Amino acid sequence: MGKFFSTKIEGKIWLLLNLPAFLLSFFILLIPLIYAFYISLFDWKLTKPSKTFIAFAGYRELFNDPIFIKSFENTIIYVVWVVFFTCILGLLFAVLLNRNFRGRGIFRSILFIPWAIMPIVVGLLWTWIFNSRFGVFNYLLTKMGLIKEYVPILSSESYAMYGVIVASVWRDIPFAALLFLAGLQAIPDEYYESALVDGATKFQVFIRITLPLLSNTLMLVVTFETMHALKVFDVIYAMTTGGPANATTVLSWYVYSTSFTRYDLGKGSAIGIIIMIITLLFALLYVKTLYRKVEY
Amino acid sequence: MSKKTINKMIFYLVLSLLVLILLSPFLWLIIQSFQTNIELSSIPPRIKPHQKDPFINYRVLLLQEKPERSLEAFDSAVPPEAYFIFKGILNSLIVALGTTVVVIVFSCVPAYTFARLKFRYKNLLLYALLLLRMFPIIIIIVPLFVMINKVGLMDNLIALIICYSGFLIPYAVWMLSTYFQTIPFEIEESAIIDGCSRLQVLTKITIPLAKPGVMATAIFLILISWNEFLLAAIFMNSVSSYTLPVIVSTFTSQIQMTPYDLMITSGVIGAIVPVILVLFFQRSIISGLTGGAFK
Repeated sequence: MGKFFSTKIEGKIWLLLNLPAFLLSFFILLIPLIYAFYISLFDWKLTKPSKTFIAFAGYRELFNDPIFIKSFENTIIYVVWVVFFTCILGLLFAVLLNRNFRGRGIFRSILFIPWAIMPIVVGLLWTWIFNSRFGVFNYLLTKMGLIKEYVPILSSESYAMYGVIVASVWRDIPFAALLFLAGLQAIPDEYYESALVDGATKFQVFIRITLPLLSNTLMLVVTFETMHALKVFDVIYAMTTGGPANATTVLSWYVYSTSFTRYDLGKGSAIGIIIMIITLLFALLYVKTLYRKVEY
Repeated sequence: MSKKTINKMIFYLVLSLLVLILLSPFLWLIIQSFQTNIELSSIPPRIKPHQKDPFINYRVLLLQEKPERSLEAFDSAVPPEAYFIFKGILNSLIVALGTTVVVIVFSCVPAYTFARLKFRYKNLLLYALLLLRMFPIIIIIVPLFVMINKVGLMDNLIALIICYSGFLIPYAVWMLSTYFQTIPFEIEESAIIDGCSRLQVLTKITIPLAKPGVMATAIFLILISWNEFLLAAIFMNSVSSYTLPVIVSTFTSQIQMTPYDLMITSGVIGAIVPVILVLFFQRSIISGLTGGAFK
């Protein structure tokens, strides 16, 4: 640090100035995380006078809990569908926006609108569209002749999850498109030009050149969107509150309903730790992909 | 017309169509916010706004005007004070601006440290920052709830500012350090040779030169804090301290007699500020997001 700071005191002051940021994040993120793990080792319900230490028995109970199993399955269904559609549609928009054309900035800003809207409003919006009496979705299906009567979506055990998935995909497309766009723009133009000169069609160029070079970006987007999908909460709160009959209860929702509706803090924290472990696995995958060098 | 021009036209057409389809749900929401329950209950759904008074829903919500029908007919799940969205907007503004100021002020020095200084464990800390960005808040709501309760800050907007700041500092440090790295070091070097301290370099040279980047980070922070729902719903108990997302959520209650027209309008009001921010600052936000995700 000798050449960086003119005086030793300056170095010490600098260290001090770094502290507030680290301390604040430490207290808001890391201490609660450790505390959450601590709580998960107890049987702590707010309805009972005190908490009892049960070590990992809480986790064992979870695997016998049918609702936990259901929420785990729901989470997998939700994450797979959301990541799949978000990536495909995001890639589509990214490919379209990759060229340099006039008005590109305007299209990009308009495209970005669904992401800017708060998830609560996104849920509200799609709740209204899927409304079983007045919603426009049912109306369009009827007009197209696909159904005869209006179908309940968010109050139906089979379809509610898909309603939530549509809402989430709608909101996440811009962000995925953005990530793909950044990856696409990293590919030098010469690759396309030389391929076209050699007589390849646009489609061949896409399959043989663009996609392989995008593999790193694809991996990044998939892991990023997976971690993002694991966090879903607001949309479910606005659309279904986990119902009907736990059809849309995913892991993150189960944490909320266990902790704040059932007041079972120990169990809620245990589910949360499990989410944390899954997220950590994907996060490590993300970081590993980020720092991998792509061979051209 | 040449083939090239036709191709270009088809491209614009396809793109416009796709963007329109993508945006149509939001446009639909806006269109219907100008209708009252009577029109909203019609099948097929109407596009034309309310005959006499398209803006009635907005006036009811923003100016606390009396609507055409009696609101007591509706379930008390939505308390009458909640119809006064204005307070919610104010609360959200306080929290968003407060958080942004705190985070930017706290994050500049660490960001500069990451940008310029070589120190032990630097790579490790960078990894940690990246991981912290993926943190699912849901897993710490119980500990945070206990902690905030103990400190007596329940129902206080300061609690939100503190929590949001702690959560957003990793983002901001990352984004700002990326921007600071784009400032040519020679300028700073010559200032140091002229006798400036590091702190002066940061405040008088780096930050002014990186102003677009700092702006982009600030817009991003405002966006995230404005839209945040989970912590606000759990910590704020009285309606007068609800932030905007929480007030909107009271309209989404599943009870039969939800006032649909007010629900839709509250959604539009909730979405206006972020949408406007995004439309005007898209360039900065986009560069900030992709810069962060791709190193």
